[in-house]
Parts: sequence; C-alpha cells; structure tokens
Amino acid sequence: MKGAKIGLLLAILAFGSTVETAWRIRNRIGPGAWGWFTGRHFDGPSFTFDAQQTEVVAASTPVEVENAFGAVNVSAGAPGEVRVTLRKVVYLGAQEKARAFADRIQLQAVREGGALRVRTNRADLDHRLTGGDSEADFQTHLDVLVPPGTAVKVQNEHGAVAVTDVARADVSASFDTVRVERIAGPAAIEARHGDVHATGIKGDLKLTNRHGDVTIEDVEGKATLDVQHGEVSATRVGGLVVTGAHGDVTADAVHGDLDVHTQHGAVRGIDVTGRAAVETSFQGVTLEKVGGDARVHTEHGDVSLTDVTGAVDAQASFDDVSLTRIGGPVTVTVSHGAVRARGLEKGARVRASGDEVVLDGFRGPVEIEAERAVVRLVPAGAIVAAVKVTATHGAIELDVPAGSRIDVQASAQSGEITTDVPGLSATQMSSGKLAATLGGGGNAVVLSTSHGDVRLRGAAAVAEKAP
Amino acid sequence: MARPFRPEVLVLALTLIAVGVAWLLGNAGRIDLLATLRAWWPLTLVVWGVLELVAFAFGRDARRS
Repeated sequence: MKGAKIGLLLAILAFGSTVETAWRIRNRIGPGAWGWFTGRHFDGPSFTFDAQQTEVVAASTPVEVENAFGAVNVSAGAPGEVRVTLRKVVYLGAQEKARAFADRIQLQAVREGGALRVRTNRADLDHRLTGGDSEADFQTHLDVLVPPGTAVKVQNEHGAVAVTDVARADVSASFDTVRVERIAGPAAIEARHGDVHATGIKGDLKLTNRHGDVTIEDVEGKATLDVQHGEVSATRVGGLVVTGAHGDVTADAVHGDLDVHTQHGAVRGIDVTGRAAVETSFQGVTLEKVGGDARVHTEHGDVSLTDVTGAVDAQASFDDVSLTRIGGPVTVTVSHGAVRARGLEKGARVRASGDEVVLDGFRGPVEIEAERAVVRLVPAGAIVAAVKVTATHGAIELDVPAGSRIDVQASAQSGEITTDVPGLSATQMSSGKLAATLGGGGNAVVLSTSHGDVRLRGAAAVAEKAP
Repeated sequence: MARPFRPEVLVLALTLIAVGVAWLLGNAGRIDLLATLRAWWPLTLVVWGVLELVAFAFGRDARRS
C-alpha cells in the first residue's frame, strides 16, 4: 500500500475519532460553548436572574413592549402603574460568569410619543444581531402588568407572546406561539412560524400568520385572517374573511358573512347567519346552515351544501356537488362530477358532465345541460314550472306527479321515449319524438337527449318505486 | 498518456467538498454540524472501498487487454 493511502486512511480515522469524541463530550456536558460548532443556541447549562421595575403612568397611557429571544406576557395589573419583571436566562458554564453577564442586561422603560416603551438593551450585548459573535447566549422573558384599559403593542422575535385583559392589542411575533385573550377592543396580530390563539375579542380582529395554525374563538367583531401554510379554526365570530393557502379552514357559528379565498385547503362552514362565499382548490367545501346566499367554487374538489336559506351558486370539477334543502334558486356547474340534490325550493340551473344529475324533491323551474350523464328528476309536487333538459350520451327520467300542467316536447336521438303518465295526451308521436299535454298544459317540459332514452313516469309508477 | 485512476485523490476531494458543505450549512444554522459529521463520516471509508474495487476491476481489464 502506498504511503499516500496510509496517510489518508490515518487522517480519515483521526477525523472520525475526533468527531466521535466531540459527540461524547457534548452529550456528557452539554453543548454550551459548542453552539458555534453545532449551530444550536440556548443549550447547555444556564442560570436565571430576575429584575423588576415599576413605572407610574397616567391613565390610558399606551404600552409598547419590544423583545427578542424570550417570552412576553402582558396582563392587567394595578391602576396607575406598569410593573415589569425581567427574567434573564444566561447560557454560560459558570454561575459567576453568568451573573456578571446578566448584570449587564438592563431593562429599559422610556416614554416616547405619549407611550411607555419597554425593552431591554439586548442590541448592545447580542452582536449576533449585527453579524458578529456574542459573549453568551441569553434569553429575556418579560412579564408586564399594565393598568386596566391599556392599549398594548408587542413586538417580539423568537419568543412566545401572551396578551390578556387589555383594551386593545397589536402583536407582532415569530417562531413561537401567540396567545391573545379577553381584549376589550380590536386586536391585530402578525405572526410567523408559530401558532396563534385569539379568544374573547370584543372588537375586530386582523390576523396574519405564516407557517402556523390559527384558532380564534368568541370574536364579536369581524375577523379578517390571512393565513399561509396553516389550518384555521374559527368559532363564534361576527363575520369571517379568510385569505390563505395550504391549510384547511373550519368555521363554526359565524354571526355574519363568511368569505374564504384559499388554495389547497378544505373549507367547512357551519351555522353562518349571513352569506357564504368560498373559493378553494384541490379540496372540498362543506357548508351547513347558511342564512343567506352561498357561492362556492372549487377545482378538483367536492361541494356539499345543506340547509341554505338563500340562493346557491356552486362550481366544482373532478368531484361531486351535493345539495340538500336549498331555499333559493340554484346554479350549479360541474365538470367530471355528479350533481345530487334534495329539496330545492326555487328550481335549478345545472350544467354537468361526466356523471349523473339527480334532483329529488324540487320545486320551481329547472334547466339542465348534461354531457355523458344520466338525468333523473323527481319533483316535490305537481309540475307547475318549466322543465328543460338537454343531455348527450345519457338518459332522461322525469317523474310526473298528479296535478301537473305541462306541455311536453321530448326527443331521443338513438333512443326510445316511453311514458306511463295517466292522462297524458299525445298530440304528436313519431320515432324518437313526442309532443303531449297534461292537465291542460301551460308549463313547457322540454326533454332532449342524444344517445339515450327519455322516460316519463306517472304517479302510480312513482309510488311503486318509492318505498 | 492518461493518468492512472487514483481512488485516494477522489476520496480526498469528495471528503473536502462534503465537510465544506456541511460546515457551511452548520454555520447557516440549517443542520447540527457535529451530529451530521458523526452520522456520516464512516461513509468516507465505504466510498473509498468502492472506488478501490472499481480501480482494481478496471486495472485487471487493462492488464488483460
């Protein structure tokens, strides 16, 4: 073996031994000062030191808190004063060194622009913020008690934020959880890389989050959310607007309108007193108990609407649309999916392709264009409005209850027309075509299909089919 | 005349590149450098062994022809 190979072998083994040894040492004593080598911070032995400061403030003085690398908790305290507790956590191997370093971490409370601004002197100590090295890793956790009725603004980087029982809240935070509770007025939250919980907001809520879930509850005002890469759960809100992508949206008890514009996320809305407008893709939409109109558009997803008081406008592709108990007129466009509806009170206009169209228990005018689809229509009662169906490559079946007043024009290219409706009087009948009248006529029933049959079934036949 | 294939040169070059990239990612905070090196350094020996086998096979073919 050549000398070069022996040398390289020894070098590799020496390198491996060094890495293994360093690994064992780190696991035994903790990384501490090894942070530069491992890329990890806030590891190893640490020591905690507290400091307190109280500032007397006039009533309704806004309080602004700035922090980084540590938590911020703001809550209501005694009137007329702001009490700040700073918990300093210093990551150094020896307590005396840690204490000496902690003594240099100072709490700063200054009045600027009519507000009391609370922060630390981290910028003077943590040179990593300006691209240099720091003598030690340290965290600064701030607990702030503010007078009741105070407007609070918090800006925190790399730390959790909790704000409770204040007049209004404006929070900006990253890399940890944000929790805002019991706010007497409006709240604004901007977060990144962390979950957000907002509960008990008396005013409006504006919230932006990236890479984290959002949970809001009991927002009396309107909630406007912009959430990317996170799930949204909203319960008992006074109106909800969600813009986002890559996350599901669930809304329960919306006392107002629901507007959702998202992508790659399922949307589920229950008990919306106002109108609902939902747009998404690659996932489905489910709405239940909507007090106003519902407008839904999804690509590559299904639509399920139940108990909608107003009109419905639904568009979907590559999946089905299901409608149950719709109070207003319905407009549905589906490509490569079925339409199944029960209980349509004011008729429907349907364009569908690729699967069946079934309207069971409908009232009002119906207009259907279907491609490669079977159409089955079962009215809720006597037909007293126009019914028009145009189909290709699919059969048409229409149940005709007693008492209907219709003028039938049916045609079936490459198919047959059959009818067993009592009292239906044919005025013209030829191969593949039928003109007939029932109950004196008055409402046009036009059924036209190519490559399929047309069947009109009377009440008796319907009764036989129904259980 | 072509240079003879020397696996140790290739191993040295690949090792330097790998350690450099790992160190860079460690400094950027993307990986735990020590844990990464500790997990993957034996791969150097494996790669070297494979290259020695390849060099042996090619050398034998060359001698036959």
